[in-house]
Amino acid sequence: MFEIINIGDSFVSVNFKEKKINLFEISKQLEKSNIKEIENIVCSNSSIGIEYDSDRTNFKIINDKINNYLQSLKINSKKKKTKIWTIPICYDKEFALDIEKISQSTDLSKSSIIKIHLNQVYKVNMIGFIPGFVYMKTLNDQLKISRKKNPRLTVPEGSIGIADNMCGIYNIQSPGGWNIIGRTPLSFFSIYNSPPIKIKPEDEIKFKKINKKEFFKILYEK
Amino acid sequence: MKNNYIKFLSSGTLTTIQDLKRKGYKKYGIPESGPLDKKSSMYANFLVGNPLKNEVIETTFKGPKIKFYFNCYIGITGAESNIKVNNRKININKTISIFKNDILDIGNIINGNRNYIAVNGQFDINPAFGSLSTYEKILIGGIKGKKCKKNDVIYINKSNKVPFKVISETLIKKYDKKNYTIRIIKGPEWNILTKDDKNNLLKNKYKINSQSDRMGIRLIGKEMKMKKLLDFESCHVFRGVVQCPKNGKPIILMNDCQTTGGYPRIAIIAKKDIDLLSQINPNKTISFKIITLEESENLISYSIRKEKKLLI
Repeated sequence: MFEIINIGDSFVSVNFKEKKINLFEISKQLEKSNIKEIENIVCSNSSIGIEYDSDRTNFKIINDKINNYLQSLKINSKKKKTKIWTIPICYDKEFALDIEKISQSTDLSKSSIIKIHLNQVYKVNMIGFIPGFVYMKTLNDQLKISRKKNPRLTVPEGSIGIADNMCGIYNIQSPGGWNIIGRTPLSFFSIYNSPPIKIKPEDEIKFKKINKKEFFKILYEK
Repeated sequence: MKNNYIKFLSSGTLTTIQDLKRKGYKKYGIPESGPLDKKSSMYANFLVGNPLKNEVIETTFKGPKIKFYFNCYIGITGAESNIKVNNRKININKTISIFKNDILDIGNIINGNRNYIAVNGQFDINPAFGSLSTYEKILIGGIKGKKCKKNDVIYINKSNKVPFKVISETLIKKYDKKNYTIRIIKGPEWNILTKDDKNNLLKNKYKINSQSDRMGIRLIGKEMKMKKLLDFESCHVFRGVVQCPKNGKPIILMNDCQTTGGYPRIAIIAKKDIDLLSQINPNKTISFKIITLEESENLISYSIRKEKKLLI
């Protein structure tokens, strides 16, 4: 059902072949496993990455520990109730920094792009890259576009971008190479919250279109 | 306690507070940060009797001038630099007594990139995500989330007197060579490299780009051509991963790196050699040598055994 492979001398990737498994649930279980040498557990597309303290153990030992623990878990593919987030997005040209480029590359009008983007329910794939960045799948094939050749030096906080078959939210200002399609006035990441971001892998995201006036209203009220 | 503080009279090139305690937050995209040269930071703490993962001041290139307002002990490790206390040159890698009003001056680097300064006791700073490590991107750790600057003050909860210690010569690395051999383990996407790429990577020397930072070390040298890549999905990356963007110029990811990345991971630096790598000056060169996982694990356990014998 899964295989554990080493990436270097301090990291393993647990790869699952079964697509229906809720990886996030398994990664949460792994956090409770009390395998002391584990330092970080990161859930991604089809694998769980585990960083371990190789000063205290080695691959063979950690592999056995993780393997035994996962075997002891009852891994069922039954879905738990997923949380659904509705996120307001403004597609005004002030925020949709790359909509012209997306329009040229996809041969779609701006209004079609927006319609297609809104029409999809996305599933959170992983949190990562930079603090609080949300990776979501799956973008409609019609909007498929590669990352920008020259990444922007600053992408404003709240920007929502698309790249390949994914949609992503920049919850902090950062450099970045995704094509920006709009912006949300809400922020989902704060160092003062615990956890700092509540959106988690396997959650579902829907977007709700708002205009500029509504954008600023929400921004100032938050 | 009220008078137990230090003050930065100058900031140095890039001076930050770092420790080895930010674990378990990568799932939110928050990197581990921490000292780039982990062993040196642990040795600095050893010299003043602190737990080895405690906070240190990490300096980069030219260091800061720091005034002490109380008697204490400090440990300095890392690069070979012009270091003075009250204008008198001192040797590092041993416990140093500091008296009220002493001024520590971490001057220019001779060999290496970074020095580590530990003080006996704890910095009176609130941890963020389990750690005092500075990560400016979201303003956490350190002094208000930022690098140290002139007039910054750190209060210290001083611990008791500590016995004088030295770091054994055999544990101290020298950074004066022109070229270093860095050992690597093949990465998951090793075979994205063409036969020529593999040859080029292993037979040529690479220069460290001066634009390297706490996120990554950029290399200058023979570029990788790579086989044509199909869509490559973002995947796990971490300290020590050698990733290769489309431009063919390898980047070695370091402590402040992103938690996932969209480029092939052609190799992973052997853990034993990452600390050394962080100390190699820009414009010096490195060459790569492939080793197996087992060989790398042997290097780790050998150095742990050596430390157990020598760090007492």
